[in-house]
Amino acid sequence: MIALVDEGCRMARSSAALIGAAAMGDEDAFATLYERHKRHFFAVALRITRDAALASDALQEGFLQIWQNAGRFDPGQGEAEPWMLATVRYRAIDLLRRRPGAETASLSEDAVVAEAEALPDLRVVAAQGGQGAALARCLEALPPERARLIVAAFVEGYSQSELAARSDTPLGTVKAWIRRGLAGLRACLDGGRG
Amino acid sequence: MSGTMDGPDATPAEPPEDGQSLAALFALGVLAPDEARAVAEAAQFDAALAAEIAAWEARLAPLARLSGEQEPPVDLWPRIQAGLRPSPRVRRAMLEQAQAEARAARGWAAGLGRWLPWAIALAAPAAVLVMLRGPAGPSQMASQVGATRVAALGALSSAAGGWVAAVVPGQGVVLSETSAMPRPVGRDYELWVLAEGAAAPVPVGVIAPAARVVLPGDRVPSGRFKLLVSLEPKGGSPTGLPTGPVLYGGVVSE
Repeated sequence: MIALVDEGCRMARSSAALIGAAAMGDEDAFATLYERHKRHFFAVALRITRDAALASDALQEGFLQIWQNAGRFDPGQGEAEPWMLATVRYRAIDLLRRRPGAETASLSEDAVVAEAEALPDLRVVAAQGGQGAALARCLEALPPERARLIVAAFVEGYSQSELAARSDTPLGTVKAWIRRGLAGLRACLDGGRG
Repeated sequence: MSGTMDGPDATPAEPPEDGQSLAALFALGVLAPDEARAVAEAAQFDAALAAEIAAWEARLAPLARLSGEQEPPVDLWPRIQAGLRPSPRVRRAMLEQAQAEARAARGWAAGLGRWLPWAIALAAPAAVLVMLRGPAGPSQMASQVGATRVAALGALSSAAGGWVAAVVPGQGVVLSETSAMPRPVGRDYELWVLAEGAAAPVPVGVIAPAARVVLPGDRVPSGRFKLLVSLEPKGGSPTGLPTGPVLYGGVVSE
């Protein structure tokens, strides 16, 4: 009974509070964090690496990094989930880019396919409300090619070279579109416009 | 940010990255691995850059829901858990090691007086000097070494080396690499001094490979100050302020 109550309390604690407990060496709090976020984070890593073993490594290394850096997490500087998610994403992207033959593999697999698709359906992003809704609204307000590059870079983990090859667009143009897209996104989100 | 939403799309010009756009590109994940690592290390020391990155991570995080959910392999948690087990013991060991290193550093600083004047004198004629204006002779320096202060620049990443700075009041700073530093092609490390309360760091100069850098005594701020090392274009920052990430730093306490 006591154990069940303890478990219930732990599940009810915010991720930020659990990170704080993990920073003090509380493995049970850290296990709760893993249970809470593992499906989402694994899906993110899998989408980026397109390889289950690599995605597993990214999740493992990412969570170990979260454990080691838990003491550095500052709730005043941001929420827990974006901080943890970013840690896992960076590991996935780094593992993908450092994989032997990564550049040639990524370009040859899909050849040079001009990606003319429209921006992905952002309803699942907007459905999160708050920041998600604002992000979806601001992305849709951007020129479509810029929004598409930003979404593809974030979700698929493509480098700017890969994005240039896949969209058959000069690298310099892709870089300029991404920078201007991010600037526009920031202006829209911070200004509440869009 | 350098661009605007309404600029001409076909212009491929790449202006130097400021902190905001660098943070955005880092959070988006499109920097090259070495660039990303340099930014991550810089963010451990540069609170403004860290805050900017955190803000971008929060802005973009809702996009991750496009990836949905997927159950990871069942053996993954035991693998992670195996990496946690020694943590409390390791933390205690790290604390004890840090205390021992602090004690050793104090002892080293006290013993530094024996060789520091020679280190500075030997460094003087070398081409590696960044700036040197009439260092005192060994006998004059020896009278100053009692108050020598030592600061470690780095500790941001154990893999990336760092510098040790020895500060002799009234005489200057000697900066030595603790190990061979990685040097990106076409880039230079540059040393900066940031006095307490100052709004911006003051450039000292480019740090040559395996160099000892000597900062003249009259340019050493009194009291507590920071020494910073940034990664700049070849030859140093063209603006007089850091244009690249600040990768190493340390506080020289009073």
